[in-house]
Amino acid sequence: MKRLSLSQACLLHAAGELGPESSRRLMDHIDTYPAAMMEYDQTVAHLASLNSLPAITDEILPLKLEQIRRDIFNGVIARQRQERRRELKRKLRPIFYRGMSVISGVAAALVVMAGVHMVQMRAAARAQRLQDATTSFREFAQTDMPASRTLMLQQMGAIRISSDGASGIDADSPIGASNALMQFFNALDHVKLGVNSSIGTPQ
Amino acid sequence: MALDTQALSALIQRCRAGDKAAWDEFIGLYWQRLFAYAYKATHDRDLAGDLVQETLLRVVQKLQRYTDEGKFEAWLFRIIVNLVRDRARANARRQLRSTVVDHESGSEMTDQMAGRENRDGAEYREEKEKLFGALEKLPELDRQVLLLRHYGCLSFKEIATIIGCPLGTVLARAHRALGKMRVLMEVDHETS
Repeated sequence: MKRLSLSQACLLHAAGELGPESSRRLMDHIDTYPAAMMEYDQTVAHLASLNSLPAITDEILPLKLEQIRRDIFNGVIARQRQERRRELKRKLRPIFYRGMSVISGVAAALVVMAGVHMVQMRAAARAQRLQDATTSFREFAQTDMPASRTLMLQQMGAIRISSDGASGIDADSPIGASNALMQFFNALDHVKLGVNSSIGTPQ
Repeated sequence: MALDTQALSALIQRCRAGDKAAWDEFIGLYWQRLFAYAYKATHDRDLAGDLVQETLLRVVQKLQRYTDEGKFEAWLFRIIVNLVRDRARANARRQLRSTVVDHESGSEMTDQMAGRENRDGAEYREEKEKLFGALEKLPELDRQVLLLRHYGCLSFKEIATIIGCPLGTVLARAHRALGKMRVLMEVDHETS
């Protein structure tokens, strides 16, 4: 241990912190030198004046002290709870963000899949409609119903809107029947236009 | 009541787990000394209470960083000394201390001492006021040593550990501070 000066040794001794061997040596020294004795007495008096400062229990009423203690306790508990919540949030945040990104990924995949499926469905439906239309035309053309076909062709002829539409029709052949139908529809379009325009501009 | 290291460690672990009874016990062990030091250093009861709270929470949070060398109290007080110092630095611009000291050292003593005045007379109060006045006039570091010694009930060796000085320096500082206090009190006595 480092050597202490007389004043330091006196202070430690007066404070009761000097070891027994050092205390014995200090006492021997004090007994030998009157100046050392004076130094010791002065140090003890100084320390006594410090020790005479009132303790906190003498300064503040016990009730107030109890209130302060309660405030400290409540404050500590509240702060610890708050920090625990913050800690939990901090721990959960990455999990939450990861979960959210998984959910949004799945949602985006579902939207894309649904879109692709709808496009496929539409394409299939369109193909099916075309197929159905072709089939129905073919069936219609192949159906052995001369009376109805003749009747229709007669009606078409009776409309007489377009001279092109009625020319060169062979009602007995299926292609001829289809062509006749196409021409019939075209003729209907013309009629409709004519009606609209006649409504729009009265004579 | 001082707990041995193992019991203290177990108590702090319980505090960390949020055990209210453990907190009550832990606070009961140290709050008064910590509060007395913080109060005397800051002259503000509310602030002192906040600093004690902060200290106790830090101890519980940072227990794993503490390597036990039988200096738990020194560690505890080092935390509050640093907090008080940080707060003093933050408040330095506003010159809080210089204005609050004169005002509060008189008024805050009133609670118990006012009652005691009836018993011991005005002399007691006058003597204590002189003591407080002399203590306040000491340089910051000298004053800190005396506050830790008296209100923290710490040994000079522990104080040396807390403020990071050799024991000889702390003793020299304390000796000088005590001498100055005495002189200041005598000067005050002569002027009054």
